[in-house]
Amino acid sequence: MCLSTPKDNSAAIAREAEAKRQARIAAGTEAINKQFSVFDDSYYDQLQQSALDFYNPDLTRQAEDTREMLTKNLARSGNLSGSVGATTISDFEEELARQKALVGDKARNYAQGARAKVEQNRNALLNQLAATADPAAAAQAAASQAQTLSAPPEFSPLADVFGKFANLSAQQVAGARQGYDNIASRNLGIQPRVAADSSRIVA
Amino acid sequence: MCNPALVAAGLMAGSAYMSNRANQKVADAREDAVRGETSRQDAYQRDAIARFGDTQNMFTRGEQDSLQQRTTDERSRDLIGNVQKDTLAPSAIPLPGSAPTVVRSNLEQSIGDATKSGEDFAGRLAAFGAFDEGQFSNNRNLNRSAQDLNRLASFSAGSNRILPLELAAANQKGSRDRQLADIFGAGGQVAGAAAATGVGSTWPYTTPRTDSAGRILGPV
Repeated sequence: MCLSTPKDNSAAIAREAEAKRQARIAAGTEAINKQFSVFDDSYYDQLQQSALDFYNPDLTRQAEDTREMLTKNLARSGNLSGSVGATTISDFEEELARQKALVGDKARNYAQGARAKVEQNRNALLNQLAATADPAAAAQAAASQAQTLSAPPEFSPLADVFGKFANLSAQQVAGARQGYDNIASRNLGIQPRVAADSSRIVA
Repeated sequence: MCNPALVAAGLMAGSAYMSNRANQKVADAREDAVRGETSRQDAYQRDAIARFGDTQNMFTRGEQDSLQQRTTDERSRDLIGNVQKDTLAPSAIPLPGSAPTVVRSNLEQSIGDATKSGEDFAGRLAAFGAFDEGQFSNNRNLNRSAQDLNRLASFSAGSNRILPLELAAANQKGSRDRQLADIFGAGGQVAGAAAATGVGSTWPYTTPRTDSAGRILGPV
């Protein structure tokens, strides 16, 4: 008929396409969030515990070795029952307590670093999803990223943290008593023994 | 026979009516399109404002103090807990049997002090690290909020891009009425032209005949 006019559906098609794009992004975001939901507080708690389980036994082993050596050295030099022995042991135990705190800090920071990495990966995936609006690809990438992030953590071994105590030998204590400025005099405050009737140093 | 002037007037009126109806349909369709888009944009805006409001609320003094306190408490619990783990019993130090009681009690006191000192150190270290941890938490929340707002902005822009197409489609509304208006208008012009040339001027009225002086001579 002469009065019929051509129908242009381009606006409706474009509106439908946009609605689908938005739905795809919403679905993809949900898929990524679901995939990353394994990285909850309990996951990071476990990671932190793994770091503690790795570092604490190492620290304990070093502490036991150093304590044993320190005790033997103090006993050999006859200082174990004296104030020097008490101070040395106290200093060592204090250092051990500090090292334990540092290990706790290290483990907490390790878990915190993992949180940052996971968040970074989640962001990257969401950005890719926004660009592609392809939830299937986003979910696949999220699964792959989640698997990579779940890989066993790598910890670097603990350094020798009680070196200064290991060097505290009886000779150094004796040297400090003779007036030498050494690790025993600096760390333990061992003063030279001076004879009562003169300024002569008594070994 | 029809009077062309009347026909022209009728057709022109019809044309005006149809044209007006077509224009109204266009106006209605455009208004619908704009209203629809405004409504969608309002929804995006509401979501964005709500999301932003949530984020903003995280940065009130109270929330930040609470976050800082919570983080400090958690870190302190973890660090001090690790200090207290496997604490040395004073009896583990192999003092000679001859060691006086005062030596033993001094040693016990020293080890207790050492642990306390380590706990204090752990508490200070925890408070120190808690700031960074709190900031990380803030950054993560800001980042997630930004992701949500970016998504809403993308939805908003995507939707808004369709509006010109919808307005163009709205401009096509009432085209049939417009065609009728054109046809009526063309017919009216033809009828008007006919009326101007005197076609069919005898009906329904008669034109009196006049003489050369303009006097009416009588009905035809």
